[in-house]
Amino acid sequence: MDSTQLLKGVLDLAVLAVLRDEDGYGYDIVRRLRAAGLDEVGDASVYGTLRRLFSAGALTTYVVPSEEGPHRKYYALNKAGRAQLELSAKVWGEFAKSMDNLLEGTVAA
Amino acid sequence: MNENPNEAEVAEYLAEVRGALDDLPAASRAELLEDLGEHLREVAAEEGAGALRARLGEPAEYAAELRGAAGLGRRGQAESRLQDRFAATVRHGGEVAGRLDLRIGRAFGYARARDLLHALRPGWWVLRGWVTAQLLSGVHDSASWHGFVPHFGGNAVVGAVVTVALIALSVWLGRRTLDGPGWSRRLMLGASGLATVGAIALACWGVGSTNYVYADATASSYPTDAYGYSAGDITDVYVYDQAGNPVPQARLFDPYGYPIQMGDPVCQDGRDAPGTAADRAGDDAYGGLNGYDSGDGLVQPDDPIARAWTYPLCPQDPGPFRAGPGAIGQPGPAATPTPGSTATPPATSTPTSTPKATPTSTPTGRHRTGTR
Repeated sequence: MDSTQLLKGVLDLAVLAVLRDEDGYGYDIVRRLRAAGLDEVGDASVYGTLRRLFSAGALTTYVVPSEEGPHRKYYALNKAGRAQLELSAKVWGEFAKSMDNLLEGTVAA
Repeated sequence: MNENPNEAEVAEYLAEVRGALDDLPAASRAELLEDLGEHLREVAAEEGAGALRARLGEPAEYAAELRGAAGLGRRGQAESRLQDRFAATVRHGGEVAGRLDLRIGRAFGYARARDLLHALRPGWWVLRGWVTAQLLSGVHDSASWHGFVPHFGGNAVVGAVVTVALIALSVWLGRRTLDGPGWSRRLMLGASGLATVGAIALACWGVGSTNYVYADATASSYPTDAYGYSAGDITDVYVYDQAGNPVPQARLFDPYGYPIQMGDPVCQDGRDAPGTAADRAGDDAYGGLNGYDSGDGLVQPDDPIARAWTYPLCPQDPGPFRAGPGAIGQPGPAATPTPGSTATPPATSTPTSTPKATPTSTPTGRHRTGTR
């Protein structure tokens, strides 16, 4: 099973979750997702998702100047973003539970 | 950044991604590419030379993934999404029209408004023929309204015949178009639309110019009274009583107390007609007598009876009859009554209407309430 297909549906949620506790810039977020086990996540997908969530009003951005490298654009959750995260997490939780139950039944049968 | 040895690779990759996004609106593209250079440099610095393609895939793939994740659709979809929006708008308009169709139709007891319109179609055909006749009559007879039956050359019979013929033609055209192929129906629909617009325009123009003609006629030496009595064919009026005697210095009024003025204020010998108030009231004659003050309001004459025209306008001209108790039936120069039949001259109905037209009470009172 191709996990990139699964990832597409939950990438928004994953990005929001990664930003829940700490703001981050694009590549930082990619790395955090990978570190969390989502190895297949594409750089472009993450950047595009950030752009889309920002356009939808779920994220705010700010630029942090850095001395040794380029200025970085940080993304942060705003109120709408937190609400979306909460809702999506609930939906995902129910979905995952249903899948778990289904799979347990299959295994048990 | 200059210390990055992969700057050329980054620039090339960036340029290719940008090229793959060149169909997007400039603002969207700028947003998408905003972080890309920095991202690429970081990846290149992390992974070493030649890492970009290995790690991120081809620039075109990267661009496709980027725009897909950003919700901007695939390449070439930007335009088609515009088309989709247009199609959706059209569809929405159609749905609204459909709902209106149903609702209006129900209000009239039909399933759909279009059923009602279909039922009204023959009526429209007839109306179309009649309107065409009126318009033709207007063009033919210099745009004056003769009433329900249009006149041609001042003739109502010809007008009626032409009207019936045009209505028949209109109905025939309508039926033929109904049975005809789709293109002819569309053609007819277009023509009907154009004709409707034209008819409305002509009607507006006609109303405007009709008023103008009256106002103009009042100001010129070609009088009509101000309320639509056409004096075009009548140069003078001769009033006779029931016995056939000419009534000298008769004055005519409409039911509102306004003097009826028709005829030519210039007599055959070229002198001003003494019957018009031009002699008696001077320069003010037309304005005062016609009840108009340069079009912006009614000006009531002080004494309408005194200032009304007296008929015949030109007493020195020979009248149609030289009638009288002793000379009944003697033909005048202009008409031939049947000799010796009755005392009433058959060629004119004016005598019987005279008493009615002359206000017997106080015309001034009614006169002021007249609102025509």
